[in-house]
Amino acid sequence: MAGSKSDLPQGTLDLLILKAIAVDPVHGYAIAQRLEQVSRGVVQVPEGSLYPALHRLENRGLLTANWKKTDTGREAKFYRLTRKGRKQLEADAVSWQRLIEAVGLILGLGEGGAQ
Amino acid sequence: MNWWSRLLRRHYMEEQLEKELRFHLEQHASDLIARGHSPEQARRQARHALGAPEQVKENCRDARGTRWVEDLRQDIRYALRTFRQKPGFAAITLLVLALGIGAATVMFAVINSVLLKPLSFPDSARLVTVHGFTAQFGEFWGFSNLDFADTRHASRSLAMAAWTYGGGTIGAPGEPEYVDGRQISAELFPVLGIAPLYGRAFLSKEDRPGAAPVAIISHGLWQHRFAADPSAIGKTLVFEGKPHVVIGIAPPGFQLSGDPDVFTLLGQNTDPRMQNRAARFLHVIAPRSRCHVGRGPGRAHADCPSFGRTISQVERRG
Repeated sequence: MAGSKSDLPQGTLDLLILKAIAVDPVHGYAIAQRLEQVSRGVVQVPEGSLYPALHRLENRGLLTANWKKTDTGREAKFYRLTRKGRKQLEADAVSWQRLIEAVGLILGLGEGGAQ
Repeated sequence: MNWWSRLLRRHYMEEQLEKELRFHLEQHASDLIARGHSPEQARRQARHALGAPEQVKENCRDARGTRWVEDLRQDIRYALRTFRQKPGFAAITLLVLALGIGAATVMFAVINSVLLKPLSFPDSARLVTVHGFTAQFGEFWGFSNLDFADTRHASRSLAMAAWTYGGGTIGAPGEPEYVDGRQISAELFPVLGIAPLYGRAFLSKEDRPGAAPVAIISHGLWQHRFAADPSAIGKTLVFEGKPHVVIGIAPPGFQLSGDPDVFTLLGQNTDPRMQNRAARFLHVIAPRSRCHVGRGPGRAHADCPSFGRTISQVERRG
């Protein structure tokens, strides 16, 4: 089980959080669930780092939060992107794309690579 | 929520944080129960996944950006508690701090007023204080009135002015009050390059015994005794029991070795010491440009031959 999961590279958690809440407002627990599901279980969000990251992003104005009832009728803190957060997400996604292409080229996994 | 409200609504923030983490744990546990775990096992696993709750909370508090203020508050509390427990140590610490700050302040005040701050006169760099010299006593700053008169007479080319301390009591208008004052020769204002704010400077014909008593008053005195009324010129000021006609108001901030409020004429002084050559109570000022000096104030006497001769004459007579 442990072998099939990957630790997140430094600095990617913020980007993943922004992406996870881009579509609709989500609470913290659902963000962790969503990331795990979408990555088919490869990405395991360190829950201890999730909330500090959320609060940091909120204080930077990239996302905003309010308390709402969940489907089960309980109060939860829902996060959603601000306009600034959406811009940040776009910029980060582009630079992430460039980075993995570059790393892929170096490792020989790109076009013309062995695989 | 901005930085200030995050700081000021600290308890609210703490509650929210607590509530959010509790929701997370309960949601995770109920998911695990739905997947067949026992409630107790589910709760334990949820807690384990989140990590030590206090550590998570600390990290969230760090993310608020108000951390240093809260730490500062705690540090101050801790310091005060320590002081209360060890009052002797606290007293010595405070004493050392107080003395250190006091000494530094005094040194700065002196250096600032003596060395750094220029005199409050226009072109003050060209002013020199004139010192006398005798073979018997060496250099001295003070001139007797007779020496001053002789020196001034002998060095016609040099505009010299003299002053001495002369505080006294103002009797009217208003309540009697002791104020700082200066007795000055008529040339003092022109030599310093100072023009009165209102009225006029002293005339040399007024600078002699028996002339009508006149006074120049400071800007501050004019404000609180005459309500800053320009018609104070020509009014009477009773100073040392003698009515003086106010003829001028000094410009604001004008200082002469302190902040005197009343200027009277030295030449109208009839004290016996005015005729005593041994009573050296006058400060003498001269503009150095008249001496053709280019080498610094210390050399002024060497470059003023007539002046130097006068001193030696004075010495011989004295």
